[in-house]
Amino acid sequence: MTLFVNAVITGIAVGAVYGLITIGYTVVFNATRVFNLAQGDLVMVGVLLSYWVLDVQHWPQVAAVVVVLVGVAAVALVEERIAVRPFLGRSRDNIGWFISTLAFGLVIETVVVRLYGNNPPRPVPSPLPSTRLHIGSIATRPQLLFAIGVLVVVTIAVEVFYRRTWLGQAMRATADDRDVAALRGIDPRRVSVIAFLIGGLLAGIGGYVVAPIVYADVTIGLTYSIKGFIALAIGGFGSIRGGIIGALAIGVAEQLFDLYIDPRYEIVASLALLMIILAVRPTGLFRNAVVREV
Amino acid sequence: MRRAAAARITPAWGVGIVVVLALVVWPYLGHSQAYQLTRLEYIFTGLMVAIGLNIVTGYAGQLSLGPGAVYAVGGYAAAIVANDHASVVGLAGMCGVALVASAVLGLVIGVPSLRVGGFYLGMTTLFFALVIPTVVANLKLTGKEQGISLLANIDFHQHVSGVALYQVTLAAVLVLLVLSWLLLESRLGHRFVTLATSEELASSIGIPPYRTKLLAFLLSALPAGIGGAFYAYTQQFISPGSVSPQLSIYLLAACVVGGFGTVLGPFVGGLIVIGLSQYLGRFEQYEGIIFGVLLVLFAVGLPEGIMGFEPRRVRVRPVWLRALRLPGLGGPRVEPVVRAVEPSAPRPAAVGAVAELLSGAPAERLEARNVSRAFGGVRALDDVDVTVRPGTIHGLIGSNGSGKTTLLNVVSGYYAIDRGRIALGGARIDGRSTHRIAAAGVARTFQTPKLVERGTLVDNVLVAVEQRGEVRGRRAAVDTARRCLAAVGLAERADERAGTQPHGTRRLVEVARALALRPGVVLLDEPGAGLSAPEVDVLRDVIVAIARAGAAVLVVEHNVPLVLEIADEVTALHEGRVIATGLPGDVAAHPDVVAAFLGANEGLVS
Repeated sequence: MTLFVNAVITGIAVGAVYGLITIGYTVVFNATRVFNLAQGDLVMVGVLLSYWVLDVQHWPQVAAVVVVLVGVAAVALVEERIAVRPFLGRSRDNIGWFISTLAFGLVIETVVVRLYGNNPPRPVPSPLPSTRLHIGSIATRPQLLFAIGVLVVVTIAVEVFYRRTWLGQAMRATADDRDVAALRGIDPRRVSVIAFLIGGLLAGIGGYVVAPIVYADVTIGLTYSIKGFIALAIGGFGSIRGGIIGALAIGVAEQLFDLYIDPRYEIVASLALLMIILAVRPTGLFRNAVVREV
Repeated sequence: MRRAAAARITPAWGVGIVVVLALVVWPYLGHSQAYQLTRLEYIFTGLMVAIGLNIVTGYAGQLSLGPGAVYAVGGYAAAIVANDHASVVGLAGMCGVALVASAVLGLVIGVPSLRVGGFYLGMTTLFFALVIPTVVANLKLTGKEQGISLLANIDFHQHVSGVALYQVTLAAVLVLLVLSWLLLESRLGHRFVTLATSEELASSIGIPPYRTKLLAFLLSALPAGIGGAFYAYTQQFISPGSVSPQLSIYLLAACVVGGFGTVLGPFVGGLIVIGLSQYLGRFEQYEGIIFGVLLVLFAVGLPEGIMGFEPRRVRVRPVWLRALRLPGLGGPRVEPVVRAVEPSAPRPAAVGAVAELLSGAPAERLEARNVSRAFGGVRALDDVDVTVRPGTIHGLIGSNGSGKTTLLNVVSGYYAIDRGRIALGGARIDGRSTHRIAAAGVARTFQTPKLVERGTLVDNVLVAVEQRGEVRGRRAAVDTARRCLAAVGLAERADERAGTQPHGTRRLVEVARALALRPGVVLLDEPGAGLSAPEVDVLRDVIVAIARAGAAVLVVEHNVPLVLEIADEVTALHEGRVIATGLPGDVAAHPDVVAAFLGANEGLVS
């Protein structure tokens, strides 16, 4: 039972990081109709920047937060300019961005692999003590609870941004109808830049939070991108809450798979979830079928 | 009749032939060392996968990002069987095993993910490409990290080896290439290209989208599986490193660089990209950067790829030598051609031509009874009754948002109805899928014309002729397509490319395509919008001719004088409700209609 509860807590914590990826996807997707396949690689950049600041440079945690957020957001903005903006003006059912964001992720990954070298993942220091926290009979790592807390705070912040600020409402308007929003004086290019800025910050936060859990692993990018996608497939595209629930489901499913089946095949857990959701409820749990436009 | 022009070899094909000849003679130019041949054979296996990828993504427009997954499964299946039964299984046996394995995986991936559509196929395939290396690295069956070495198996012999094996592998690539070319020129290929243009368009002419996509994906899996078998046979080895997820991205890069949707694109692009990856030498560590940058550059700057690139001039390719580009990538380059259609068909001829085309079409009454449909809280259709009798024109008028197009869309099956019934000749059609309704004899046009931009006008109509399935033989089908175009006054332009045509012509092509289905019911969605005066004349004649030929015509149109002139009956919609129906003059004079249209007590026609 204790094992089970611990697996669930770890699963929610890992799922929280997937959740940050899905929020990044959703913010960018709603504003630009682009599904940023490099989102997982941006998280990986955050992880490696954390490692560099904390373990190579031995700077304090505050410096890590600043460097990671600024660094990842900068990479996201470069991506927006090079791999996404050229497609924004083109026809609606365009898929060129699909290829270009995937390729941009590949470039980032190769660059980071070259810089990091062919080394096994090294540990990244956590801002929190490594001593286990005891709650009743359950012992858990503070870093895991930290990840869950960060997801809650970020979700609330993004919701408030969308509901309360002018900019957030402008972005929601763009999500509803790009052309009408443009007519109302909302510049779609600016919205795209801001969406990628937010997406980059979210990836940076995710990277900083997950670094002490996964270590400096340069190979996680594409896997994270796809798991984020599966989370959205489970929850339903366009819905922030749906995506988070999907993300938590994947995180927990993975940990339970590790515990009861075989950790070597962990990646199969999310694949199984994807196939089940496609078979049972293809539009996701929280979204109605989209009306086709003719 | 166009065969003479067709024989011309375009520069793209010239390049292809030179490359093939170079590859054929290559081993005789002092490159016949075993390691040199093995390396080239590896590149050839990648070409096979790329040719497959081009079928689903290039022809049918369904993005697949994980071609390496099928390659891996085909290769492992072939290697396992060959390893266990080394004395009996040769190259052919390995290919057979790989074909079965790849078809099974194709179904496992395709059935669930294509049902959803969008980019699910892309993500699911990519995920399989990511999962498979992890799984095979842990399974005992697949030899874990070490993989399977046929070289270490003393029972296994390459019955074909050396230069002969090189030639067999190259021949296999060329056979697949020719098959993929024949596919593009076949009826099925035409369906794929139409589907790539627009799923709505495909289903409106009776092409079942899901089944067609699944077929495209399965057809793309088979060459990939064979590629895997050739990999295992030529390299005599397979391991998790052989099937890394990066491989899938490189194969994608091969098609993007070469040109998705062109026949030779995957071949030329594959030689460049996979070839480069083999001969990068010490730059190998920067492989990901090189191909990533190449992909971004091509996706942004030259989405049609090397073989799809053409200088910006209007050039018509013969029907069987076209190389169609993926419409989704970057959109077509539309060369501005401003030239209005001169109505070349005199009026009585139009009537005769249409009557001939539509002879034998089912004459059935279209009935919508108490039809309601809401979107969210908006009642787009509220208890609507409309009857269109065979041989008559029924005009549907109303302001923007009154529900006219929604009515057309529920009749053609794009939207389900909440209440009521729609019947064709007494048989209910509501609840049927769009392509079945189309097959039952309901043809339509769209507000914004949907055409295969790279195809000629004949190509665009031909797919509808083929879909009807009554005309036997390519020559007869092309001939029918030409007659449909002639009926709307486009005989002269039949071999021009659709993407270069002005708006008015595009609309008339849609009408010709509808005629090609030989429908009993024709739904026209604002056919007159944006047409010049001579084009409107042609259109009017054709619509009248369609009705005279016995079809039931339902026209949504803003040009009220046109509707009042040609319609036998008119229905006026306002905020989803029928406010008047009857003879054109009565409806035009109806006080509610006048109020709804003008908000004042003035007549519609002065």
